[in-house]
Amino acid sequence: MHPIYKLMIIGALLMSGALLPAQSPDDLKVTANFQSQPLPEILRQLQEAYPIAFYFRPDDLPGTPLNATFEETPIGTVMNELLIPASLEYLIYRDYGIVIFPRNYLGANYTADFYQALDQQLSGSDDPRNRAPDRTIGSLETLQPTGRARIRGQIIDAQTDEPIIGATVYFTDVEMGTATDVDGNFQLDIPSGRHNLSIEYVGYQEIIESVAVLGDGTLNIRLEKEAVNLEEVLVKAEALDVNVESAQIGVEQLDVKSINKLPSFLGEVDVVKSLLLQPGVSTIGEGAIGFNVRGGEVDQNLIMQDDGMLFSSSHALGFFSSFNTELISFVTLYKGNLPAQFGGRLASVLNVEMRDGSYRDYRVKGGVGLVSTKVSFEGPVVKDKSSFITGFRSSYSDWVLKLVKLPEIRRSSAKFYDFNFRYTHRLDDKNTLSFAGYSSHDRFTYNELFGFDYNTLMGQIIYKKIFSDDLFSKLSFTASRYESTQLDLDGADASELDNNITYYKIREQLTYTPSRELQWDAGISSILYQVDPGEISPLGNLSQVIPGKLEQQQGLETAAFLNANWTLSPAFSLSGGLRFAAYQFLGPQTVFEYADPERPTGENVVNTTDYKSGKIIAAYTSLEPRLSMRYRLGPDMSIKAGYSRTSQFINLIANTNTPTPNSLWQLSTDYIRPLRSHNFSIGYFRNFDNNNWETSLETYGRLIDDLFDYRDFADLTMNDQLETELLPGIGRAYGMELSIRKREGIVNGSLSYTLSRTERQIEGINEGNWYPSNFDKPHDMSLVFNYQPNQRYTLTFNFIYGTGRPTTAPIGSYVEVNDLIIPIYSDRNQLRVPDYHRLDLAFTMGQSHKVTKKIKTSWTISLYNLYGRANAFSVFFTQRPFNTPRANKLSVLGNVFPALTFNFETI
Amino acid sequence: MVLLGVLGLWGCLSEISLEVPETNSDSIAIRGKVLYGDTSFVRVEITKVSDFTASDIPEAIIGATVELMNDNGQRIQLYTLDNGVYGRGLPASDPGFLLEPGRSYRLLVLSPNGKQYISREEPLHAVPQATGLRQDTIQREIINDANNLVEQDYLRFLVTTPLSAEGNAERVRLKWNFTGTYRFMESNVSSPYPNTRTCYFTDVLDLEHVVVYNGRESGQDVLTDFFLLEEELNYRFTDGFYLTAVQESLGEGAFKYWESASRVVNLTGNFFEAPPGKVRGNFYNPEDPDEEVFGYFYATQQDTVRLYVPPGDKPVRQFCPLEASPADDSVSPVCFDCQSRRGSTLEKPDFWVE
Repeated sequence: MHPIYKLMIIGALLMSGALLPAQSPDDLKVTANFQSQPLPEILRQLQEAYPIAFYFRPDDLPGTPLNATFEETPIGTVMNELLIPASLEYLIYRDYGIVIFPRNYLGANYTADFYQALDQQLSGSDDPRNRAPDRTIGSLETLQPTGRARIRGQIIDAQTDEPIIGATVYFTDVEMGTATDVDGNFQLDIPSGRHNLSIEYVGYQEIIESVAVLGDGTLNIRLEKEAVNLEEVLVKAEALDVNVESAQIGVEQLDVKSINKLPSFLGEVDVVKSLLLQPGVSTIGEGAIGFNVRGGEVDQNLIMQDDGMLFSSSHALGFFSSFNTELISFVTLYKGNLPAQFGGRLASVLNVEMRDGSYRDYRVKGGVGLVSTKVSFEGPVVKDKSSFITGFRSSYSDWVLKLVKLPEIRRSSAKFYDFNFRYTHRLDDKNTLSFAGYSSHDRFTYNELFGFDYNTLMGQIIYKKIFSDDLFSKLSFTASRYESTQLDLDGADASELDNNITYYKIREQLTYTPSRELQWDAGISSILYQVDPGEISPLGNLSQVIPGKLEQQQGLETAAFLNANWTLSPAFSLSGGLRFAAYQFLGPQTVFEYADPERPTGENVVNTTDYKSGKIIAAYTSLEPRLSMRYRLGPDMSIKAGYSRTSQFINLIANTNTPTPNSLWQLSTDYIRPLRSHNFSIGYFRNFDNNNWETSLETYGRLIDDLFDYRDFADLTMNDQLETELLPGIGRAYGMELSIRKREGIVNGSLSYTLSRTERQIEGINEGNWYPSNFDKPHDMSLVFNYQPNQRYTLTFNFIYGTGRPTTAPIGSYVEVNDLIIPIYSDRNQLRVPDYHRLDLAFTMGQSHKVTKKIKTSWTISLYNLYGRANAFSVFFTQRPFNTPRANKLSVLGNVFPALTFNFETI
Repeated sequence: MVLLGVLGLWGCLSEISLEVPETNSDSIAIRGKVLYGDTSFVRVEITKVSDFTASDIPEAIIGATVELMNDNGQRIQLYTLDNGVYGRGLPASDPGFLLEPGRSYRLLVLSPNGKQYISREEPLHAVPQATGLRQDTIQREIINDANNLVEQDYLRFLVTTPLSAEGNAERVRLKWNFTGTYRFMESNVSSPYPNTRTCYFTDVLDLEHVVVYNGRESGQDVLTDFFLLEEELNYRFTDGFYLTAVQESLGEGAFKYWESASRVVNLTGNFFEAPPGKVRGNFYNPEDPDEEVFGYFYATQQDTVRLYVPPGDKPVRQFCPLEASPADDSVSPVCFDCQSRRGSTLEKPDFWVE
């Protein structure tokens, strides 16, 4: 509708006080005779003769004279006879009058809600809500035909300008709300009119305002940190229905504050350990590197730090994750159903977004523990223009090792550090440029016999540009190198074995939001991998190792994607798209040719071919539909379903209980085919108690049509014919995930339970029958109980239970001629180690956050493995000569592990 | 940081009760070797495989027909030496059955129930002569039985050997077996044995390890001071100790077999250990290729080297007290009857030279 007509209506409404009719225009009957009079004159006469007012733009009315006679004719009929020949239309607005428009301006686009909205905005002075609002959003000019208004805005920390993620923006009277995203932004469509607005975030002062929403507009809020009364019990917030509303299925989002509350191992809070409390996420045991998602191996998780991929996400082998929580903005895990923006891995995406530093104030934050320390520093470079944030973590555990009685441990060493840096410059209101760097180092030696040394170095440049309110772009360039060294320090095998992977990645993503119901994401990315699969050199004079180096491998992975988030109706929305990935394995490379390429062995090599640099040796493409749909069954429940096709062109080669830092990343080649998977899921989501209780039940299935496992006793070190040690096959995983979560309250927490199976079928293993994967855990449960009587104290318990993982057991034996007993092992993974369970506790004593104080401190006491259960990491069997056979279990942690950490933060 | 236990390498270890499935007791295990040397022989042992948890002796296959065949098509039948044990000496330079490095050999077994098993051909490689065997002493900190941290001496034995046999440029794969022979003095008692005797005990050493080396992958012609084994310095070294190291040549298949065996006989369950698997032998049933047959037959030449470790300056606590009473339960019965121990003899071995 043309704005002028809106104004006419408004005028009608404003004048309504003087024109209050005794009856509705609909009931009015007209008796009149008009001869050769123009329409404006006829209308004027009618207005004088009847309790009715006409609103029109004179230019719209024809000046030609008309003849018309009416006898007790309903006003509607009168209007039709007068207006239709002139291509005019009218509307009767409530009791106030008749507005006349050209026909093309008036139509079905304008719903009753529109007029109701106007009515609510501008009429009814008796309504107590009509007192002066605290805030006005938009204008009548921007009110949409549906009578709803789109509100966009950002919630930031008033002191640091840091975006607040997960803040609640809630209109209590209409019970509509949302949460802010990673940048503190939100978007909400609500009916226009007077509303009560509530904005909340834990630790910040709540804002409650009366808001007049006139039309589309912005709402930017600066939240002040809260001065907490120690005696006050203040744990309350309106929860949101994000889990019900979101179209994406299989998503877990973690906020840093929740992570920090959880019990920690040796005082170091950990992103990955927090993920393990989510349904569908598991690990094979303490200290194991990585995590498994819905039946995926650890290398099937794409681990992102901003736009960069990490190939090692662990410190101290697998005991700590590489993410410094002080610098994290948010953590999202996509399980199985990946949006089209992500690809290159089969099972999941762990997207860890780092935050910008404060643009206004300098802040220092950190924690000091018995074995590690972390500190972060942030602040403006140019106030409100550019900022930096940097963080450093380091362990100093060797002094503890020296206290241990076991001499092997006393002669061991374990150290790590990591360093993050990020500089962000706001070029102007629409352009932002960020530089980010990450470096980590680990060194571990055991008993001066062997060790690992591994490093990650990653740099990123990210350029964000806002073209318009509806279109913005993110361009990033990443360069990264992961290096690992395995040290064998003793004997004839004393050697240093190096491998590394370098990649260069460029990615561009455009986001276009043409309407509130639709958002498009499109982009391209290209990654050039350079893998050095092995270089070995002898150590010491007695080493018999021959120096050698395998050829570097190169691969190029390019992808284009298009994804739409589309709300087709209030009940139905979807997130769907398509991803096209192309991969090329490139020369230079010497490629072996086998008599039977489907079954390559060291014995059936028939030829070798040398490929020159850049020559394509093997090429694969993958067209990957991605779809996730949500149908809302009611205000607090929905069902969702999803499907995605995923592929993976780089794999971790590790035939050990858990991958090691030195495990090799292997590109897909002409013999090692890319892994491919179909991922299905369907779920029911239901919230209770005003969204404070979230429940969900998801089932999933995965069909992996290309994967591999290892031959018995596979030789994976310095092997330029790796394909001869792998056996191709297929896999499947299926399961059910139950999640119950209470978000807020003095007592809150969550319960996650997963019932699942993960199996594979490979010719040459277990006679070609299905067998469980190494990480198959049919039952996996976690319970988190959080008691927070006030802001000062928090008590948290974790309880974890899981089925023991599969293992291979001996079923027989025979004795060699020199009395050596050779065990005969069963089919692979036919036995299970004992079940796993563990209870952890954390107690945080925080100091009240008074705005007058400059430093906020807290102490955290953690008790990991509270009842000291010696969970089995592995089971193995021994049969010494002249002794009875025995089963042994290796427990990584057999005792309770206490930790004390001092945390500080400048305000 | 308890990154230690952490590293889970050798976290805490304990025995557990775990029910393992039973084996198919009909499976057969054939292992043997043909040895080329001054006294060439072939020896084969055939049994059924045992349940892993069974404590009884595996059932021997009696009445089998066993033949040794060379790549010249010559065959020679083995004799029954014991229950399930077959073998015979092989005269040197027998034109009826050529036994020499460079040839390949296989075994043919016809079981009493009519099943035939054939081993794949195994090459016989000449073994290089070891040029040195030496020992050094190192100290390690250990936790003793009283849970105290103490220093303990260990003897490390190191071999030096060419990697190719004389007159042969091709490097070989090697395997070593060890025995230790030491003098053992009984306690001085008047009854029931009026005279204190001296026994010589011979033990197979380092049974839980298989020591192999692939000379084909070596960058050097000589393997120098290659670590063979480590023994705790204890009572065995009180009155002299002989280490006997038998160096064997292996073909590629035999090397892989023993290398695989080494991976399953000494598991520790640590983070970086590859999962165990089936140690594949080289026998098959030509009428039923899917039948699992365990064990390995290989051909080898041996070289034996010995090292005498004289009593050292460092006092070592003797196993038996100088004087003791048989009524004293704290003293081992071996101290009163050294011949009761397996592998003991009153005769001084021929190689024992002081």
